Amino acid sequence: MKKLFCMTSVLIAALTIGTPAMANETHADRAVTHGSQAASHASNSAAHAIAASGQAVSGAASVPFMASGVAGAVSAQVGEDLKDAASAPIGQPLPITDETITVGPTPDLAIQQTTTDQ
Amino acid sequence: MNLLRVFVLILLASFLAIPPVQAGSSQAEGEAYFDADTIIGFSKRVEKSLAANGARVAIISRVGRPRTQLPEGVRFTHTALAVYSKITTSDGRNVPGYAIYNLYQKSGRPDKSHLVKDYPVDFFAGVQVLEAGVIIPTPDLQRRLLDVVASDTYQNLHNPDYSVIANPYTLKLQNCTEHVLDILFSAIYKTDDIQQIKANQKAYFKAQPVHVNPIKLALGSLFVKDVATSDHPGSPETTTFTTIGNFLEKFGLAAKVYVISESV
Repeated sequence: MKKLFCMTSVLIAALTIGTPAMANETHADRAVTHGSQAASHASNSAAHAIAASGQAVSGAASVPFMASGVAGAVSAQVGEDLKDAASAPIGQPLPITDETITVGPTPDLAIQQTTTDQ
Repeated sequence: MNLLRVFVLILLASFLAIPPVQAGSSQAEGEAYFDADTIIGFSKRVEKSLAANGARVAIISRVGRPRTQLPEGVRFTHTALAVYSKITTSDGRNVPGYAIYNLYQKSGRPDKSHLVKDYPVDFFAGVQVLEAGVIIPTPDLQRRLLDVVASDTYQNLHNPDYSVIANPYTLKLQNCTEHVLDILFSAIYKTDDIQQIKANQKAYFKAQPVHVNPIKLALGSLFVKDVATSDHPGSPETTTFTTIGNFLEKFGLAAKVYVISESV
């Protein structure tokens, strides 16, 4: 039993003293441990907040503009307004859309939200 | 018997107190800490900054946990590639913007990961600090990175076995930042040979030592699924946004390394 008491004391010391970097980790530890639980609260999720704002447009697909092997194919498909985006040299300022593009919530969150809405 | 109970309770308490280290790479990081307008505004600011610098591909990082709760030397919690892309919207229009190439932990399986492409607003949706780390590689490296991203090598360099403190010098486990590092080395050396990539990382890349109480870390590896020490033969060390930035700057492969924050 004495050995057990010693072991407990060592653990208490280790957990109490810790390192400076760990001094305030309680909340984050909880967040890590309960990460998947937090993610399951669809109504609170970050992804849903964005989707619910009505300011985001869903992105259905994306292809890099300038990778050898796909650049030609992408350039051929883009309209006149995207020609610069496809062909501008690296380092030259690029046009980007003012719209906010999103993939929306993950399927497991989306299904929960649908259920909540009913 | 009472002492035994105390011992068990302490063990449980300590397993709940495992440090976040990198604090994981969850998609949207769960709950929202800022309102939608703030996240949308900040995400667009980051996107515009990348575009103003003419970045076809960049390395970006976010802070998914309060900064004060991260271990010494760890400033960001998730790192990914931002790739300038033709984005097709759900209503069929083509628009220019950045797609983010992520390695995320699987929901409900934090010790496993998958590759997910999303957009800046998704990337920053769950941040706890409005701050983005940005590395813009040199044009030559950007061209090579684009070739890797557009090839099967991007997928082939993914290891689905996840640890928040994955050792970059071994093949057993991988986290988001290590996947980015592997892509970088693949691009630099024009190879998809993972043994060659790891050998070059060992020779030229300096990882971040993980300053965490060894007892906590040992207990964490026993009880927390996404914390593993089995790939660390000695003191644990891992890949971070900062160490990637240091590496690229040291070898003249970074055009710009900077931070975008709420106030700047």
